[in-house]
Amino acid sequence: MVKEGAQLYTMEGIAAGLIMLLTTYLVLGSTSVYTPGDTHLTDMQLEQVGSDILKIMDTPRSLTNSSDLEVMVNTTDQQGFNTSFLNTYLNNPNITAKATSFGSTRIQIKATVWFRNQSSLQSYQLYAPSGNLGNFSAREPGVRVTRLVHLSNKSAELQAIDPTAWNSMRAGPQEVLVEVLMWQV
Amino acid sequence: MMGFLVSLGIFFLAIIISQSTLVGQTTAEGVLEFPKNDIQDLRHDVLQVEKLTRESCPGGLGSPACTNIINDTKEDIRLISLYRKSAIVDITLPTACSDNKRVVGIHYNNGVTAYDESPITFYCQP
Repeated sequence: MVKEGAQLYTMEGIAAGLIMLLTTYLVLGSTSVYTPGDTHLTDMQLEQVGSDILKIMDTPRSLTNSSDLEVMVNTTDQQGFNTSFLNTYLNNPNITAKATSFGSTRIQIKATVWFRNQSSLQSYQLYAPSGNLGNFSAREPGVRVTRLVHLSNKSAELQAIDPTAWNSMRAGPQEVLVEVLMWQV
Repeated sequence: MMGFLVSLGIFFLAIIISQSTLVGQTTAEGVLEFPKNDIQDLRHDVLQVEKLTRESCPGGLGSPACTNIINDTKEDIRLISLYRKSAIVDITLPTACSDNKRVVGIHYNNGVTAYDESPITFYCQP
């Protein structure tokens, strides 16, 4: 005698199996979504570190002092800026020593100062890296961090370093943009 | 029947899981696109200029020299933001005290994020 009970179980089993397959498909599909946040995660970290360093450098050591960054831009202290940014704040000496041991120069920076000349923007180099850029394999994209700096006057030291920029820079208090390009090699 | 019900339950859970990445993606995009550092920097600089001009402007607030400095500074920030940060910035920074106070306003728009600082009032020394 054939009953319809077994047939019902079979249909239920097939339906449940289909739903389970669909569930697996959904779950597997959802985990492989590659969010834009993931692709730029390392860039974001480097950018945040760079912004924080500029923020620290632009913070006066006491209420009445000018900030380190302002002093460096004001005196066009190229080596001082590089030392402060890279060695004091960014690269831990131990990590740098390890990186040097296998030929990496770690993070390189290039700093530019932008200032307004009447209705146009002009720039000069605050710090440019040396010609040796290190190992060229496995290079990550560079990031740009900026900081608006208040200058009480144009830099006297700039006259010897970049006369063209110095001539077109106006005297007196002004805002300039310190732009630092950071990349890892 | 039990297996059917359980699988149905798992199916709805899976829908929730698959939606969660969408939520994560939009949040991540929102965080990435928000120019937090730019806005903080702009705000810091404008307030610094306000403080400097209020406390140690040559000739004092309202003098022609001081008015020039304030206008030049505003133009500096506007042009630098426009060319280097692709952001339209509008700063309200009065060149003199009115009613013994100055009201500073900052408006920032980079095409994705519009930021309007609520007016900040600074009181001038009597």
